[in-house]
Amino acid sequence: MKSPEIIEKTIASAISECDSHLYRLDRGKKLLDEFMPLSVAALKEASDERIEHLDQFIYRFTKLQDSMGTRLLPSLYRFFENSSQPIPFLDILNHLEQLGILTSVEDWQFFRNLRNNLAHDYPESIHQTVLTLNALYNRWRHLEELYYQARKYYQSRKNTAKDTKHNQPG
Amino acid sequence: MRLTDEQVLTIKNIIRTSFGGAAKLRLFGSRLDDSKKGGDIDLLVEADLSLEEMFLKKITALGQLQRALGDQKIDLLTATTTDTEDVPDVVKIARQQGIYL
Repeated sequence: MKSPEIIEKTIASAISECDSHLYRLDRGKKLLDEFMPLSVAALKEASDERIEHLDQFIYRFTKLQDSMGTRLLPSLYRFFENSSQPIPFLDILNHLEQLGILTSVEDWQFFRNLRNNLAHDYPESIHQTVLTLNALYNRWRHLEELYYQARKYYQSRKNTAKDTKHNQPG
Repeated sequence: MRLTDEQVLTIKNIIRTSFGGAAKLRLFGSRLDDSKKGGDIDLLVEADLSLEEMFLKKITALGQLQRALGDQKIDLLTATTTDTEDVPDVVKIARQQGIYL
């Protein structure tokens, strides 16, 4: 089982990583403001510069989602539940929602499914890509809110949780 | 059909709540074959909504289905009831082979 100190380091590193992705995502969003909502015709005719801005936005979104899903949320679960038992990721999400760390499992799943849509960028699915990008552009602040709530919860309660662990009989 | 009554009820509730009571819901693919095991849950929903509405409801409902049924592979296709020609082949197959839930 990982020590609480190692879990804390992983959480601190994940928070730093997520903050960086959010900053870039916000800048990427501003670069797209004049270009959104997107249409199939606009995407087909987009300049290289526009495509690069879209790529930045997508890249930072997927990195933020990955970092939260693979590092931050599992580590928060281990830290606050004091558990190293391997359990399905959906169960972790449900636990985190019950604790108030994750505001909404359904919001999380929404972004996870958007991300899966972006994983396959086939030319024949350009309509799907446009719908996905518009939904992401309109709603990504909800992902930001999910992250801020998890970060706030951790930062406000980590010391209390550590004291509780230290005071447990050995 | 290899879904429990409870799973069918859960799927119907989520789809009707999301897409409205008039939405048509079909199960197709390997879950219709009683001789197989496991496999994706392939669903086709037909409703008369705009492309944007349909897409947002699909992504939302998919997340709800994953949460309710556990994290198994669920493939949720959508089409409007009036789309007959310009639909992917998989939608045509779902219409031909699928059963209404």
